[in-house]
Formats: sequence, structure tokens, C-alpha cells
Amino acid sequence: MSAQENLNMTSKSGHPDNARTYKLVVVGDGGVGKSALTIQFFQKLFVVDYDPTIEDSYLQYTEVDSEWCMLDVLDTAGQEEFSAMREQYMRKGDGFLLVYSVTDPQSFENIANFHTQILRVKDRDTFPMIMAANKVDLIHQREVSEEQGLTLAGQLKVPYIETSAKDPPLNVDLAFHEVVRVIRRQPSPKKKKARGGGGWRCTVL
Amino acid sequence: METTSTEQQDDASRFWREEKETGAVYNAFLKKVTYLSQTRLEDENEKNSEFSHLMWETHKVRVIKAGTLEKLVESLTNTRGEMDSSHVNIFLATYRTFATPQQVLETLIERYVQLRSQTKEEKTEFHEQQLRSLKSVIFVWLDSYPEDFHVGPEYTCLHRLEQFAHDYAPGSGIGRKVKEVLAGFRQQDVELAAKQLEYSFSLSEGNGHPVDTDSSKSLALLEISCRKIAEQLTCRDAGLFLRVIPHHCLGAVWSRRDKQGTATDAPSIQATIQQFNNVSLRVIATLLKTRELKSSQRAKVLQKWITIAQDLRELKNFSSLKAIITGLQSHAVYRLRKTWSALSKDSMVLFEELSEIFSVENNQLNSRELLMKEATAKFPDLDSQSKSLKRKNLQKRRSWIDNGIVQGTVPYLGTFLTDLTMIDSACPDTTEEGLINFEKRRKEFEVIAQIKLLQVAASIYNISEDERFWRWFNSIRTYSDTESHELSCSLEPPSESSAKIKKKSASLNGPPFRRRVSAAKLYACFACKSRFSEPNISRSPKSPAAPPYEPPPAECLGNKPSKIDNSKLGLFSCGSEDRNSIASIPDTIAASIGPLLSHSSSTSSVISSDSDTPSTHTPFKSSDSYVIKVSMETGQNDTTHVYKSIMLMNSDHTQVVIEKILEKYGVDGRPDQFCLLQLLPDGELLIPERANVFYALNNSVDLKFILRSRRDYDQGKDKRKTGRRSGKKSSV
Repeated sequence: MSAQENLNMTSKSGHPDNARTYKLVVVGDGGVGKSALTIQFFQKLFVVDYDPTIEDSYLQYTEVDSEWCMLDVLDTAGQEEFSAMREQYMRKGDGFLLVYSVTDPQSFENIANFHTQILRVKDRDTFPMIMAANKVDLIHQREVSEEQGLTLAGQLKVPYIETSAKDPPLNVDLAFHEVVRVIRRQPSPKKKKARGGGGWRCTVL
Repeated sequence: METTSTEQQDDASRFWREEKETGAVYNAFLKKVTYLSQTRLEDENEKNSEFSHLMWETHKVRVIKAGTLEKLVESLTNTRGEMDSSHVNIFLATYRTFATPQQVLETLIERYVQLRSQTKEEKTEFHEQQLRSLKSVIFVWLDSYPEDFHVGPEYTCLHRLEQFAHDYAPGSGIGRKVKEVLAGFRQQDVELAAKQLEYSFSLSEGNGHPVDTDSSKSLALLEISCRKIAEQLTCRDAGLFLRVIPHHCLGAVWSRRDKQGTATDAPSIQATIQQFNNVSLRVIATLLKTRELKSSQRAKVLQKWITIAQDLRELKNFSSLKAIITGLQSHAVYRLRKTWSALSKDSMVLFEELSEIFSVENNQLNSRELLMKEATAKFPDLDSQSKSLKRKNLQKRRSWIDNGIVQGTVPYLGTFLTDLTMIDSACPDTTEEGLINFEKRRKEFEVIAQIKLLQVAASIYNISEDERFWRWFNSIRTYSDTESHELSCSLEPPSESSAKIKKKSASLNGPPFRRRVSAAKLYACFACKSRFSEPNISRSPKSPAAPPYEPPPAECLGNKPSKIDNSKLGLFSCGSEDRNSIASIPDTIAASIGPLLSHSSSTSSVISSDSDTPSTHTPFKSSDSYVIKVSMETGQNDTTHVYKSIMLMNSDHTQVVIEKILEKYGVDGRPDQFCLLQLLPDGELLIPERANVFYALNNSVDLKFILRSRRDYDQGKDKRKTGRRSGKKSSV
């Protein structure tokens, strides 16, 4: 594809480069610091101008393993008690961050519930997810050990990452990027089919 | 007069500089203040133009950014000693996040006493003005937030205030006001105690019949009129929303709520959420109970809820509307393919349109915009792509106007809770110097002010609660997630509803609808990413030969073990090479929405997804229609963010579709002046002038279209010398 065409399409679709969009959903109990992770990932230096209501607040064009992509993050922090809504937004996700706080054993126990619910909604045995053990900066208040976290992650077959949104942040970008990697890694049952009938992709004006 | 007109345009404040003093940081603005009123000005000018130089003057306006409590209290009056009502509003709405009512009261009194003692030495009008203003602040406080003083049985703050009035401000009216408020509280306490007694009685009575015993209850739903149900839900929702104490929504209260103590923190918000969940759970329950129901009968229940949802839309009750949509989209209901198949097309379209309101795309842009538009409107602005619905809506609108009907509004509270949680996470409570970060409070107040405005709108409804309805409502037995899932599976076994049908609905799950993201923002993200990447991430250098990734046995990723491989094993690439990645996102997702796909008679064409066809990701469609999203490009300024949904029938030719679009957008023009293009992940597909659009489109991707004037299209084409590659479409 020529650069000219590429440019033209960019302006038409309003989207840089046709990069793939990944919808990442952040789940976990209230108070585990989900919002802090999301904010840390998106805002960084722009806190002064931060407006939670504008449409691209949670969109980020970013590079993961030298491939550009658009991350579209859904974080419903503050709405945890609207429990009936969970499945609705789980359905939207391409990948999930299961967040718990290492200072809150209850939030750790709930991770398995979130995991089950996601698989049920997706109707699959596995789905791209990572487990984020958050607030590891609070060493003295820690009640869930790394070992416990790893054991559960092993059982659920998801990657485990220890995170902190406190300054200096720990593994925050990594956690979001890792979900993208897991999504990219998942075997695609569609691959074969797409190849078989992929003629339509030549469609360019 | 020329000067006046130019000067009025300049009549705004401009940021000048930041000013610091001990205990406070201010933003200083320069503001032009017009002195004489316009009419008088003109008179003066007619008589004598030399007065014109007195028309305006520049004032310095200081806005506190951060400060100690004392400084924030000091800022309640401005540099001229007048009450700064904007600051007072923000302060009173948010101070609980950094001080108690007692602390604020003491600081206020201290400030007053200090000013008063100064006054004795040099009695200036400025000091007098400040004292008057501080007294006004106390009045405003007592009027707007009486609950701050409602801490019985001692009412320490009120008594302190009474003492203050007696000692320092006799005859100011504060003393009298305090007595009034106190009397009111005592009365309320007595009433409350009586109520609680009553409540405990009714609870013990109610225990006799908490759940329904016979299965006829789901039929009862069909017997109650939709309007009645919608009105009752609205009556309850509006009541609950009016009781929400806006400052309880602040992150400092809500996002730090105690998870276990469900009812102790912010009970007004908890009650709203409870009611929301109650509605969703009852929607689910009425659809899942009574196994014997045939799909067609169950579809009636489904239709009932959709009609109720539409009634709620008309009542502008976004809370229960969302609760019903949520219930219908819960996994247990959503997967009931047979039931959804038996639903009428009009209801399906309606459901789609109502769901679209709460789309999470673009940070819930749809619901935010709709709320802004309708919050204080007299009645909703209904629109639909279905002709029959459109006609009905027009009739309704006419009757509202004729009967002078004004609807209130109930918003969905959750969006505000999230916005405030995010602000709370994003902004620190104190500055590096340890001052209270008042900029944060100002940001929070923007959301709080919206809630308050909507509360005014919510008080407009005039519906009274019907006990019989609520007895029925409360008698519906609800199920846990797991119970619902099991019930759902017993109605339609999983193999049937999921394994075979791996389809997806465009509007619910399609590849995201891509909105123009502001170039500046993107650039900012990019710049930020490249220059300030997080220092702590241990990224191993990109090694193309990294070993395959295996999640278990679990390993701690991150900077500690530092052995993450950034293997590029991704089966999907997101570069420009592999277009299929877009289409291959979600069979997973697709699996869960099977039911929505085939609601008309012919289901067979949709079900066979195991076949090797690329149409696996067929967006929402019935056998003979699609719902497509069309945005319109208008001339050079082609930044139309909005799109409209258009119903596309299998007989629709290009001209007909363009006519529909023009009508929908209310644009005059001949269809042959426009061309219709489908947006593909890698470009655009021109739908030929004389084509059957239904068959011409590419249904393996999101059904997003753009209508462009033919002139623009031809110009664009000329510029691209590469010409057009013929588009072979998988669907044809």
C-alpha cells in the first residue's frame, strides 16, 4: 500500500494507521485501586487538564512489541455495586485486567469469581486476562503474599503482575501491555478460515 | 460607539500569573469590568462623549488554587469584601473532604472575630463589607446544607453558632435562623423515631410472605400496563435520586466507602444502586422462571420489558431504562436464542436503539450527550429508524405539546460515580507544600453541580406511589448469577445456543466504531509515551527469537523477575498487513450474543458458523435486513462525529438507501448527488450507484457507512492517482 493511500485512509477513517483497537476491561472489587492504575496509564503528565467526561479520555495510541495499536480501556470504578451490570461490560472486552489489592484478602478471593463470570459470558474455557496484584507499595499492610497470588494465577492460567500506581509507578504500563500480548498470543480458530476466504481485504478505493 | 462593541468582546478575564503567599497559591486573572450600564452609556455619549473613558476598568481577580483551611475561608469574600458566591458554592459542596463542619465553623468564627476586632481600630467600609459577607455565608450554609448541623442530640455546631450570634452578631438574624433550624430538627427527630417504629412493625408483618409461591407471577407482569410499570419505577427512582446527597458521591466519600458496611456509607447512593439491581434482577427473573413457557410466550415477556424500557425513555428515566437493558443483556437472558428469535422486528430495532444509548463507546458519549440535551428539556426527543415507531413518536410528541406535558429526568447515577472516582484518583488532595488542593474540588464541583441540576429536573415528576405495584414487584423472586445461568441453561442447553452460533451483533460487539480522535491528543499520547516511558518496566530488549509464551506455571511478570519475553508470537498483527485481525477479534464475544442474530423465521442461514466461510462475523442481521450506521460528510468540514442507524432491507437499492439517509439527516438533495461508501478497516468501499446495497456491502466487518457528496468523492479520487483496485467482497 502506498504511503499516499495510507495517508488518505487515515484521514477518512479518522484513525491513525488502521491500528487494531483492543478493548481492555479493568475488573475488581471497589477500593482495590483500579482507577489509580487506569489514571496512571492514561494521564501521567496531564493530570492538570484531566477531564473524565471527554470521549477520548481512555483511549491511547501506543506501541506494544513494536506494533502500534489503540487501547480502549473500560474502567467502571465506582460502579462496583451495580452488580447486575458486570456481564454487560464484560461482553465488550477483548482482554481483562483482574485487579485485587494485596492489602485486601476479600478482593483477592473475588478474583476467581470474576474469572468464572468472564469465561461464562464469553462462553469459553480460556480468555485473555492478566491478574494484577495491586498496591504492593503498601508493604506493611500487605496481607496477600506473592506466593498466594502466583498459586491462584497458576490455577486460573493467567499471567501474574505486581503493580503499584503510587509514585514511582510499578509495572502499570506493563500490565496493560501484557493484556495486549496475551490477546495477540491466543490461538485463533479463525485463522484458517480467514485465509480461506480473505479476498475482501483487498478492497481499497 | 465603536469602542463599546470591541470592548464587549474583550470583556473576559485573562490569566495573568500565579501568585503565592504564605499558606495559599492563587491564579490571578485580569478582568475588564464595565462600569456604566449600556443605556446610560448611550445617554451620556449623546450628551457628552468625554465620559467614554470611564466606561471600564481592569480588575485583578484572584482564584485560590490551593491553600490552608484559613486561606480558603478567607477567600469566601473577594478583594472587595463581597461574598464570592462561586467560591462559596464550591467550598460548601466539597469542604467535607478536607475538614469537618466544626472545623469550618470555628475557622469562620475566628475570621469574623479577627475582622471585627480590627474594625474597632480603623473602621473601614471594607471590613464592614467583609463582616456582612461572612454572615451571608453562614446563612447560605444553613440554608443549603442544614444536615451539616443535624448532628444530634447535642447539636453542638448549632449551639456554637447560637453563642456566636449572641456574642458577636446580635440582631443579625443568625440567632433567629438557628432557632428555626433547631426546631425543625427536633420535629424531624420525633417523626423519624415514629417512622422507625412503624417500619420495624411492617417488617415483622412482611416476613410472612416474602417470596411468591405460584408461577402465575410472571403472567401478572403481562397484565400490568407498561406505562404503569414505567411510571412506578420512575416515581421510586426520582424519589431516591432526590435523596442522593451530592457530596456523598465525591471520591473522598464514595470511592473510600467501606465495602462491608454496605448501608453505612452514603446510604442514599446505596439505595439508588439497590433499586437499580432490583429492577435488573426482576427483569432476569421474569424471563427465566416458569420453564414450561414456550419461546413465543417468553418473547412476550421480553417484548413487555422492551416496551416498558421505551416508556421509561419517554419519561426520561435513564436509571431504570439502563437497569432493564442491563437485565436483558445479562448473560442468562442474552443467550436465549429461541426467545430472541421469536421477538418482533420492531421490538428488536427498539431494543437495539435503546441499548445504543448506553453504549460504552467513546467514554459513554451517547448517554452523556443525551443527558446534556434532555436534562432540562420538557420532553424527550425520540427518534427511530423504524417507520412505524417514528410515526408513533411523532404522535406522542404532538400530544405532549398539546397537553402541555413536562417530563422530569432521572439520570443513571453510576456515570457520575465513576467520573468522580477518576477525578479523585487523578488529582492529589494536597499540594507538595501540604496545602489543600482546591483545584481538585473545583473539578469535582463540575460533576456535583450537574447532579444538583438534575435533581431539580427530577422533582418535576408528578406520580404517586402505588403500594399494590410494589407489593407485586417485591414479591418477584430473584436469582443469583449462578442460579440464573443454570436456569438459562436448562431452558436452552449450552450446546445449542453457543457452540453453533458464533455470530456477533454489529451494534453490540462489532469492531469499535472509530471516532476521530483529536490529533493533538494522539500526538500528546505519542510524545508522552516515547519520552516518558515508565522507568520501572523491565522490558527485555526485543528479541525476535523469544521462546513461545506459556502462562502456567504462573510467573510473576514485571520488574522483579525481569524475565518477561516480549515475544512477538502474536498471531494477530496490528500492522497494516493483516486486515483479518480486525475481523478475527471476537468469535469469543460472538458466542455470547448468538441469540440476537436471528429473530426472524429463517435461522438456518445464520447458524452454520462451523463452515469455512469468512462471514463468520456477520454483524447484527436478520435474514432480510441489516442495521447499518451511517455518518454524513458535509463539504470541507467533514467532522461529523454522529452517525445514525438505518434499517437496510434486502430489497433496498443504492438510491433508496441514500434517500433514507438524507431524510434521516434532514438534508435536502438528490440521491444522485451523493455516493455511499462502506468504511472498511483498510479503506472504503464504494457502493455502486445501481446496486442492491444489502448484497453489495461487505458483511464481514462492521456495517459502518459514510455518505459523501459526489463532487467531494470525485475530487478525492482524482487526487489519488493510483486508481481504484477492484473490491472483491466475501459476501457476494
